[in-house]
Amino acid sequence: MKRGWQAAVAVLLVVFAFFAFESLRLSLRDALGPGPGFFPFWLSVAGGVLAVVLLVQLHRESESEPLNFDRAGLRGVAMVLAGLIVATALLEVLGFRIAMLLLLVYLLVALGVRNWIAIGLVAVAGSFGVFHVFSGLLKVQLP
Amino acid sequence: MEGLQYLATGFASALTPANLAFALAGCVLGTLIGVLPGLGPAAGTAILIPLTFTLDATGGIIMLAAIYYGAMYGGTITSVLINVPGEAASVVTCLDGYQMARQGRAGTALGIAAIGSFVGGMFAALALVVVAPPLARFALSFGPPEFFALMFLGLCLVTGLAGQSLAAALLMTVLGLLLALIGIDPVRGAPRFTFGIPELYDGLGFVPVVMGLFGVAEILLVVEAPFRRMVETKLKGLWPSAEEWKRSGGAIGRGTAVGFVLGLIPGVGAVIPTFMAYILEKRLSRHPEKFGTGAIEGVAAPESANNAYANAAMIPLLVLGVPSSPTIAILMGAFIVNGLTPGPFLFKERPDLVWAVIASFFIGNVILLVLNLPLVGLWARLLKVPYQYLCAGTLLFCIVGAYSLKGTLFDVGVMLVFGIIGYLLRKLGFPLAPAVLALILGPLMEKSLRTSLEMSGGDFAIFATRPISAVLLACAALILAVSALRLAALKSIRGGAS
Amino acid sequence: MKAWKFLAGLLLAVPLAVLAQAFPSKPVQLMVAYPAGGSTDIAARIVAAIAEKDLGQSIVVVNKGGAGGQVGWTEMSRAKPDGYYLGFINLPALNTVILDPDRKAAFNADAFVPVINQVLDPGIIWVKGDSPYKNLKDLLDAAKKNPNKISAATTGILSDDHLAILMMEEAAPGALFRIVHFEGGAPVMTAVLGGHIECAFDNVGSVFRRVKTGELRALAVMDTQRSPFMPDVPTMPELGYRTVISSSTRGIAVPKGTPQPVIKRLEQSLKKAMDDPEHLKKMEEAGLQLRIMVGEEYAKYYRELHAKAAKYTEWARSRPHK
Repeated sequence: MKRGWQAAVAVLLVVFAFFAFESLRLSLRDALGPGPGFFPFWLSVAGGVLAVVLLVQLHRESESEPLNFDRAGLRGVAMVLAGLIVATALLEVLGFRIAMLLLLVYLLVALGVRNWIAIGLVAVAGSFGVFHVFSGLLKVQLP
Repeated sequence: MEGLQYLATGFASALTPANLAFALAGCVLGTLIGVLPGLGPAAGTAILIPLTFTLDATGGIIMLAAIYYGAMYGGTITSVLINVPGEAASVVTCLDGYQMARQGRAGTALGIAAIGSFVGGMFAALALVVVAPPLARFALSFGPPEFFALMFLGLCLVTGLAGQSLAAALLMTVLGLLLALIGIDPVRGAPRFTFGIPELYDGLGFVPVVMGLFGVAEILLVVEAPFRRMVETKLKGLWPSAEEWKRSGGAIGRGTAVGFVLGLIPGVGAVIPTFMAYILEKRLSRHPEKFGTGAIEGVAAPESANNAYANAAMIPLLVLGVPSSPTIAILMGAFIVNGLTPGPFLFKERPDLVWAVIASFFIGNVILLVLNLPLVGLWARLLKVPYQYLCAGTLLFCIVGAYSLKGTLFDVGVMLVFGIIGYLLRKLGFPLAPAVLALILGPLMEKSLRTSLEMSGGDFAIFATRPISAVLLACAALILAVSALRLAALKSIRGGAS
Repeated sequence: MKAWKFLAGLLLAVPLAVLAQAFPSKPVQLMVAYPAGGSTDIAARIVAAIAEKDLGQSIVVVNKGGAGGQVGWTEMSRAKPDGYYLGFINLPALNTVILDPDRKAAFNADAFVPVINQVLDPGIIWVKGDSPYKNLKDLLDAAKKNPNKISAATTGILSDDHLAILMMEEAAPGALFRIVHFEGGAPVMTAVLGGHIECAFDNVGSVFRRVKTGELRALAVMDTQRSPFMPDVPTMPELGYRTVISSSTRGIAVPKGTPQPVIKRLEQSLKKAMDDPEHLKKMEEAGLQLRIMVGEEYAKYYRELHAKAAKYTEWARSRPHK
């Protein structure tokens, strides 16, 4: 857990540094007081200070229970994410119905469902069914 | 009590079968819109405006108003069941409502939300009848400086959302504020941190971000450890226990008060009142550590605030013709396309219509309660569906929701990115709520600060010389001082976070 | 040679004619660069519902809101120019997005071919009903006496209202306002009614009813003719300020490269819809003044407005903020 916190805070420190650097390119002050860069700059500085303090404190602390990343579990997360990213990329290419049909089948199979009838029903309802509810009833255009 | 007389005639008109049917249809449609993430009250109302063109003005407006508060309630359902806020104002309900659902108490959570909403809504509607005009004048006394002071006060309360680690909460607050600054700067019009992407000019969408942080991240956590079931135990009773009633009573009352007052102030929006009600409840509670693990007050207070806000926001609209939120502005649009301008003169020109609409608020609140209490059991049973289906369905829901917000894939991408960030942060035990509140407060605060300075020509004295803003800022300073003392008293900055 | 030309012309004309006849063979998209529920959106939905009857295909309103229209217009500039993608262009919002170098717009003014204009909502200066400024002269005198002290609200940076303040300051030398930007009309209304701001530059459509009821006082309309919604309010040219002409217009355009016969076909259906009594009635109720312009008239308006907006955008960016 300690390692995880250190990593997260370090990443935040980088984010704050980026914001601070970027906001210096905007003006910090204008004729009326704070300019466009004022808030982002001082906020990033405050965040950076907080992050450094936290890092020092973490360094002194003893290791608490380790962060458990289960390998099989992580594979599941990666598979779901991959499916989501691919489906999003294909959403406007294939259209909502086909892309979501494929996504639902993929997700259910990836999550270990083998009941093909149920998969089929859910996938059709979730893709074609949802599409028609949105375009017919609510007049919201999906791709 | 002249109002009560008018109200009686209003009821007579609102209770005609046709108008009753419009109110019922509005409540059902609204609940549906609330359940669908992304399609919040604003978009939902807008899309259904053409539907009311064919109706007469009274019926059409009754229906749109019903859609509006139906949607405000509907958002709660998905927050509790699958940790996806159906609309922005239900984010806070995720914190404890979803935990309650995992303990098998989804029914109780939804039940208390329905009851709290009913109380909040009824109170605000009653106040509209009895004391609307002075309240509306109060609304106008909030110019940009007062608004800034209020937002600043809200920000100072953010530490109230801290879990065990105050430092982590502060860090998340700063992150939220920084992310909120992405977009076009409100005074000069210069893009900030947008990497030249036009979609970022309006900033990160609040709804895709919270759908990612809460909904998508939750699914990833469930997928990673399937034994960490979405619902851990069997469903328990739907009706709150005597003990829960006792704890909720005060929460509902305070939530109503917070939601009502903030509802009067134009520009506050629907999210801030729910956060404030939650923080207040946590501060007052004898067991603040229970918040976030399924405390019923953590559902009752924000839900009451939510509906009290929704109904109170109608007061500035009807009395002054000032729309206090985007959704209310759309409702105002519905008045206008029907040839009516809300405001003092509408009460004189068309008292029949105004009072029928006001009466319909009461009827709508009753309909929502009657409609939702029996449905609560049905919704809760949805959680018996095997988790694989629930996960796939939730993800589909999120994608549709994010896309339908503005019709761009960009928001879907934002949601996925924040899903991953939320997954990692929650895995580590960072509190997300402060970042979410900061995301809402950030732009309002900066905008009102700089508008105030435009008004004063750059003179900061404007905040001290105006009484309301001076009082609010003094309160903020007090809270800051107390928080600083608490911070100094803490030995470990991580405070023994898990 | 003549025969060649004739033949080539024939070859070109036949497919175009066929195209025009076959058009439209599928539903047409009408993009609105603002979220659902705004006045552009509502007006678009009204027109779409009527025009699709004549067009013979449904017209689907698609909202692509964001960045003051820039998101929608970026997409429109990249759309296939086959006549199935139309979009609302709001002027001068579109112009200032193009003209403001900070915006880094991915398109220029030539990316769109204007087809038909629907609404022209003139600019207006208004004060609260009980304000000491009874007319434009009172207000301008005060702004000359106390330069940079009289606060004036706009509905956004580089909005038509912002440009209108600059036009007013240019036309009345010595008068300087303290410009306060808000986001949209609702916060402006709240701030002025609450007495936090002294006057507002806005559009007729957003205030005309309240002017009628006396809650607000309109000082001048920034158009060459009086507004039918408030015939008692003088125009700027009547008051001697010939150059202070400002408005917000909304019309339909197509991406550059759309075939001319297709444009003609669209124009015909849209014009018919806009002349429809139902459309006229709804627009009047909403307080939106129609100014239907088609073809070269609209194109000329678009070009001239762009040049004018360029001047004031430049000025807005260089004007000191005090």
